[in-house]
This record gives sequence, structure tokens and C-alpha cells, in this order.
Amino acid sequence: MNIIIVGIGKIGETLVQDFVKENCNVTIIDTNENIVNSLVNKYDIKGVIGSGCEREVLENCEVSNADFFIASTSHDELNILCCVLAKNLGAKNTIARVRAPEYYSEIDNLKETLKLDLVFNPELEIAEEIQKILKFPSAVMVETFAKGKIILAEYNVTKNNPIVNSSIMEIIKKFKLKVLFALVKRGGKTFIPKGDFVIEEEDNIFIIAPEKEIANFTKKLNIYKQKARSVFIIGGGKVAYYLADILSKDEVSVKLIEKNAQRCEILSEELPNVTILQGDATDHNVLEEEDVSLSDAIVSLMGVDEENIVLSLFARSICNNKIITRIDKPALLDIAEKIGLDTVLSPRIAISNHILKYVRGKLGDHTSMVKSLYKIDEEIEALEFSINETFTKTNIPIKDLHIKEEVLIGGIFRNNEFILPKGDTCLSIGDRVIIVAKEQILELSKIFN
Amino acid sequence: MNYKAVINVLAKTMIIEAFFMFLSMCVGFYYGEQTFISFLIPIAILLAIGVPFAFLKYNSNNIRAKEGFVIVALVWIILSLFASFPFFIGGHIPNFFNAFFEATSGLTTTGATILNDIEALPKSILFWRSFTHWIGGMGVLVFILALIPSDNGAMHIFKAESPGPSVGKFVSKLKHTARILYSIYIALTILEIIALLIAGMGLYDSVVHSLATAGTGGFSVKQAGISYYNSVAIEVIITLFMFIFGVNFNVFYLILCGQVVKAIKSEEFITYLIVLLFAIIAIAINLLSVYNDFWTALRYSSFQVVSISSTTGFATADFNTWPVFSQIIIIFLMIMGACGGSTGGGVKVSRMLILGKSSYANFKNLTSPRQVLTIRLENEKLSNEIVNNVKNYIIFWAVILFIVTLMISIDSFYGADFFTHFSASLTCIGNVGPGFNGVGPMSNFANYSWFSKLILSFEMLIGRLEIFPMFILFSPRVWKGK
Repeated sequence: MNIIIVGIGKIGETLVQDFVKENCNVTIIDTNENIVNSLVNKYDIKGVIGSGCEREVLENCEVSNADFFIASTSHDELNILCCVLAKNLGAKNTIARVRAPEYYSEIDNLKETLKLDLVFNPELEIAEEIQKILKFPSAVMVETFAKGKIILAEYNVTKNNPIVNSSIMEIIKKFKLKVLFALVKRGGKTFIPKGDFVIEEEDNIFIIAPEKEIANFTKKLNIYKQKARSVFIIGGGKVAYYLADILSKDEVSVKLIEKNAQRCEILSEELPNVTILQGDATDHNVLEEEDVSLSDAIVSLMGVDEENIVLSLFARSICNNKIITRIDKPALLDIAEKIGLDTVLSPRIAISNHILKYVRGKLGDHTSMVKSLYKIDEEIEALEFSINETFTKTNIPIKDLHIKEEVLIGGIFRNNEFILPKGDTCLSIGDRVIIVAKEQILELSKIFN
Repeated sequence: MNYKAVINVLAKTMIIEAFFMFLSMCVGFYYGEQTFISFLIPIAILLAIGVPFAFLKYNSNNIRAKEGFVIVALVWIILSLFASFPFFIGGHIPNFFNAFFEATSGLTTTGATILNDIEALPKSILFWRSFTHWIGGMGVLVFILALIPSDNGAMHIFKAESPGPSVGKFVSKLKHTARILYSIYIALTILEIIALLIAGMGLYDSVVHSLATAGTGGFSVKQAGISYYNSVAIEVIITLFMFIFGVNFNVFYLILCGQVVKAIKSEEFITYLIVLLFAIIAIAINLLSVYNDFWTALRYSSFQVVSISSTTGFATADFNTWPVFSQIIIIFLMIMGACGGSTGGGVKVSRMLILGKSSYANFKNLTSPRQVLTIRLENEKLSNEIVNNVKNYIIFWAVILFIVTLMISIDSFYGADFFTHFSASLTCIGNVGPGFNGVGPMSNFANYSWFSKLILSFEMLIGRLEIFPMFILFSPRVWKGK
């Protein structure tokens, strides 16, 4: 599959990384010679130096053979222009990164007139991701399936947790849980656990269940926290704007602090239900004055990763609330986890959801459709498929389906109900199936041996 | 330094070399020769070392520029060493340094020989001798890259082995690029074999000469070289293919893609063509005093000019007897060599072009200092980095040329004058083959001492790998630290 990516920033590089892993033919275009050269040396890709809206440059990349053309420069208008040009030159699918909120009011109209196949907005994606986590503050990470009805949540197992040193089978019996243990992360490695797998201290466990059962699970483990009712956002960039907007519409009381006075005025005008504060959040006095510890959750979304880390550490020292930190530089992610910042968000999450899902959906054999896709880490993905009429392996019990070693059926959503998969459960047409896999799965029929 | 990665790639190349040797052994079987042992022993050693280490696991994310250079340099030294075993073991070339020189000369596509009586050697050994040209021409690591899925750092290996100032990919995947290169290479070689067969050369001779032309090497199976056949048709065919293999393979790729106009408009291609035409005509006119008849002069002039500039080194005439004017042109052609991205050697036409353009730009800036100049090649802006690399390369190249000339000039034998030593050094660094006077097209390198042969062997490797990999291999800085 041929993929052209224009504009190589953090998002662009993450895309390159993902697509190279999926064994695609990737060509990158950027005006910055150094960036292109360093990536060409690092990954097995072709690099072209130039502007993505130059005909000659695009023809040089054989745009007419491109299956996907992704424009991800920092300028919305340039991205759209590149896509329009690429489409005219024969690119099959065009994907543009569009970030400005004002373009989203007429986005469907825009997509149709300009023949854009997909627009993506990393900032909005991150904001939505944060909102999910704020609904379950005791989880480290939360992903949703089946239009938000089924949840995949990551929990850190602390020392006092009653499930430490018991096997999964015992835990389920003892607490009468209706959840599925999908994954266990231990010391940098990830396992798909069997029933006799013993949970240890400091493990991160991934649970799949409907919202109600997740709440039940956390209550029994004494780690239940209510949905965040008040959120303190630090920084007033695009992510902060989207997050404040979403949260305030969801009846959450939001305080937002931003240094730049002009930006504050814009925010205050655009977000009437949000308390906008003008001040330097890196000044600890300011935070204490504004009673940051009274909020259920604190979200650091400033432009500088290091400032976010320091602020989150400070916040943790003065209160015991949910703390979410945005980190863009991949190198800082590991460090942040090591020093104990539990929930860290990186741009990877923002793009994998949307673009990979879209690309996989185009590639599949159409007996099943990818509905959602989350990259849990470099290796592991969680996917949701819907089963079409053409799918053949229906009405066979799961235990007879010969599912691959590294693949787990994490849940089935049928007639608005969650079904915990057991050996004698069968798949049927119309089901939404949640898969956790250690390899890239293009379609549901690929999980069988 | 990622030692495991280096060892793994080395092991893989050893297996590939064993495979190539096996093919030569089959030629021996076909002709019923007693060369079985000469091939079997090196094959056994190569496989015994190669197979276990080829399964060594390594961290593929850690192949950086440094590892790329080291891998390429080590691979070529070890490859040359083992390539000499078939010559040495059966006693076909009894002296080890002679065998090593011959093998290195083969792999680096130089074509300089120490053999006094070529026709006395078995056919399978001569086949291996020419086959090394073919293996070395496109590069054995490129061959490996075409076979196996490439790691993240493989581009560094590809860059270090492929000749030319800036190495790029045709398509996104390195593996596919390497496959395209080898497909063009194999197709052109087969085309030449067919053409030579039609022209009346025997099957064995056409195959061996085609392999030698494809790698722009120059080993012949006849003592008298191509002049043995005394056929205008064969000379024309070989001239044409020597020219073709001296052209940047990018041009053929563009032609395959149907972009013929863009291919032919390539600046490097046009320059190469113009220089060759000029040299052929100038020498032909100059040779009227030797051959009397213009067409004879043109026949010898064109073959020699294309042979030298493509750095093949076949000969149909002894240019030692030519006028000095012609000889000077030939010296210039030896320095310039073929196009970047071809199988030929020399400094490369593209480097000459870049050097010329940047010098001209600097000259312009002397008179109008405020003028902002952009140096372009093939309609693309050349970065300062590339221009500086080219200048660096030329300086290193000249220094090595003179140091080696100095080191081998200790030897004295009949006919060894300044011109002999200088041209020996020049022909080795440019991977051409013949030099002048004592090492002229009708003589050979046998008279040099074992020490000079070793020095010249390394100079050939330096020339083939374009200097830097060999220097980096022997630089202590690379090996210090982790």
C-alpha cells in the first residue's frame, strides 16, 4: 500500500512509524531538509524535499499511485490545498489535518466540496480522550467501544489492593465480577492472561466491561472515584479549548488558567460557561490562591512538556486528585511514567484512533468492519469489528474457532447488551466484537488459525 | 557499536559468497575440471562460519551511519579474502598476495591482473575470476538487501556501498529498490550475452566477458584481451555495453517507468556522453599519425575511450604507443570515471559536475560578492553538505593517490618509471585496470613486490567503497566507547 505524508512534525513522525510497521510503502514530503534526511535514515521510507502543494513534487512521489495521501502540516489551509491537488492528480484517499474550531461548523460541507475523505484533529481527539478518563478518575487510561457503551480501562494495582497475589479465576469468583481481564502489563512487558495468571503488586491490568460493571469492579476493589465534577485546566491552547468546551457542555465546572491576556479574552468570549483565569500557572502561589486542590482533577496542557511534568509533580504534592499530563516528546514519555505520573497523554493516541482505523477499514475484506482501534502500546492493539452478512464463521462456539495464540476476544456487544465471551459463545451477524491482539489485525477473519 | 548487527550481516554475506562460489564450482563440473577442492574448501569454511552467526539476534533499531560504514568495509575485506581462496588453494595462483590482489581486483571491478598466462588457468577458475566483477559491480550488500526485509537502519548500509555523491531510492521500500537495481543489472547482462553470441563469440566466452563488462571490471579470458577476436562487431557490442554500465541506473529506471525524455535530459548522462564523444573524436584525429586510416583510428579510439572512462579496462590496442596528447586525455578519463549510481569507478561524473559548478559559483562571488547563488544539479538545489562532501572526497582521493604512488615507488623493475607508479596508483583507486608503461594494457602488475600488491589491493577497496568506509573502519574513535 502506498502512503504519502506531507508535513513531518510529531504527528507526522508517529504516522510514519505506524505505517512502516504495517509494511506500507511510505513517502514523506517536507520543506525541511534535515527532518526528511533524518527520517529517511531512520525508517525504510522515501523522502522528498519540497512543498506538498507543488505539482512537480507530488508527481515525483507518484501521487497517482497513492492509496492514502495525508496532509499534516501545521497550517490547516495548506493541508486542505495539498489534499485537493493530490486528489486531482489521482490520489485515492485524501486525509487532511484540520485544527481550527471555526472550520468544524461546516466540516461536512467542506469535506464534500473539496473531496476530502477524512479530516482529523489531533487536539480534539486528545480532548475527547481526556474527557473519557475524567469519567473514571481511578483508571489510568480509558478507551470506549460500541459508541461508548463498553469500556476498556487500565488500572494500576497498588500494594493494598485486595486482588494482589490471587489468580484471575479466584478474583472473579471471590468478587463475583462480570468483567474480562484483557491484558496485564508488568515491567515493560504485556501479557494476555489466562485464568491461572496471578496478579502482582505494581501490575497494570486492563479490564473490559460495560460502564456499570466497571463501577462495580472499582467499588469492590475500594478504588472507586466518582466522575470528576470539577476540573482545573492549565494552559489555554487548542486542546484546552476543546476540552473546556466538551466538559462545560457535560455540566462539569471548569476553571482554565492561561498566561496570555489576549488569549484569555478570546477564550472567555468563546467559552461563556468556563471560568477563565489569567495568570502564570508555573507560579505556585497562583495555583494555591485559586484553590487548585479543590478540583476533582487537574489537567496540564501547556505547550512545553517539561513545564507540564513539573506542574503535575507539584500538584500531586499538594493534593490527591486525578492528574493528567500532556507530553508530546516521545522520549519524555518513559521518564514521566518512571517518576510516577499515572495518566500521561501523547499525540500517538490522538492519531491512531482515527487514521489507522480509517486505513484498516479500507484494507479489510469487508466481511467485517473496523469500528474502533486503539494502540495500547507499540505492539498491542484493541479493535472493535462489526460482523457483516458475508462473515462465514458464525454459530461456531469460540472454543472450536482455533483463535491465534496472541489474540483474545475481549467482548461481544449484541442487541445493546454486553456478552462476556465464554468457550461456548458463538459469533453472529450484526455483533460488535472487541479484539485484543499482539499483532496487526486487518479483519476479523484473520484471527483464526 | 552494535557488534551483533555487524556480525549478523557479515555472516549473511558469507553465505551469499558461498552460493556464488558454488555456481563457479558447477562450471568446473560441467567442463570436467579438477577444481572441485579449490571451491569446496572455501565454501565449507564460509558456511561453517556464516550459518551459525546468520541466526544471531540483534537490535535492528541500532544500525546507525557508523555501523553502516563498518559493516560495508568489513564485508568487502572479508569477501576479498575468501574470494582469493579458490585461486590459492588449488595452486592456480600459488602466491597468497597475488591471489588476494587478483580477488580484490575482481571484486572491486578494477580488472588489474598479476597473471602472465591467463589461458593456462582452468575455465571454472577464470569464471570465478570474472564472476567476482559481477558480484562486486552492483554490490553484495545490495544483493542481500534485495533478498531480506530491511531493518530500520539498512539505508546506511545501502548508502555506504552504492557509489555516487548522493544516493537515493527509486521507491519507498529499500528491498524493492535493490530488486529493481538487480533486475536491470541481470537483464542488461543477459542482453549482452545474447548480443555477443549473435556476433559469433562462444557461449563460455560471451558469458565471462558479459559478467566482466556488467561489473565494469575488465578481466578477459584471453591473454590478448578483446583484440584476440579481431572482430568489429564484438568490439562495437562491448563498447556499447561498457557505455551502458557506466550510466547511472536511475536513467534506466526512468526509462522503464516510461519517462524517456526525463531520463535522457539527465545532466550527468549528457555530460558523460559529451565528454566521451569529444574524447573519442579528439583521440581518433590524433591517432591518424599511427593508424593512417580514420576508421581504424576511430575503432581503436572509441573502444579504448569507453573502456577507460567506464573503468572497465578491456583493451584492443596498446595506448602506450599512442601520442602524448591521447595519453593525457586517457589520464583525464581515468580520473573522471563513470556516472554515480553505475557499476563503474573513478571520481564520478556527478562529482566533477558538482565541483565545477561550485567552483564557478565561488568564482562569480569574487567579482560580485552580494550575489546569492544556488548550485543546482538535475534541476535540484544542492545542499552545502553535499558540495562540502564532494570537496572533501576529492581531497582525500588526491592524498591517497599520492601516498600510494609514493609507497609503491620503492619497487624498481624493468620499465618502472614515474608514469608507471603514478598510473598504477591511479588505475587502482579508480578501479580502472590498465595503467601506463610498466603496467600498460599489454603488461600486468606481477612485477610489484608483495607489499605493494597489498597496498594496491587496499587502495582498490578504498576506491570502490568511495574512501570513507575504509577510513572509518580503521579510525580508533569509532571503536572506542559504546
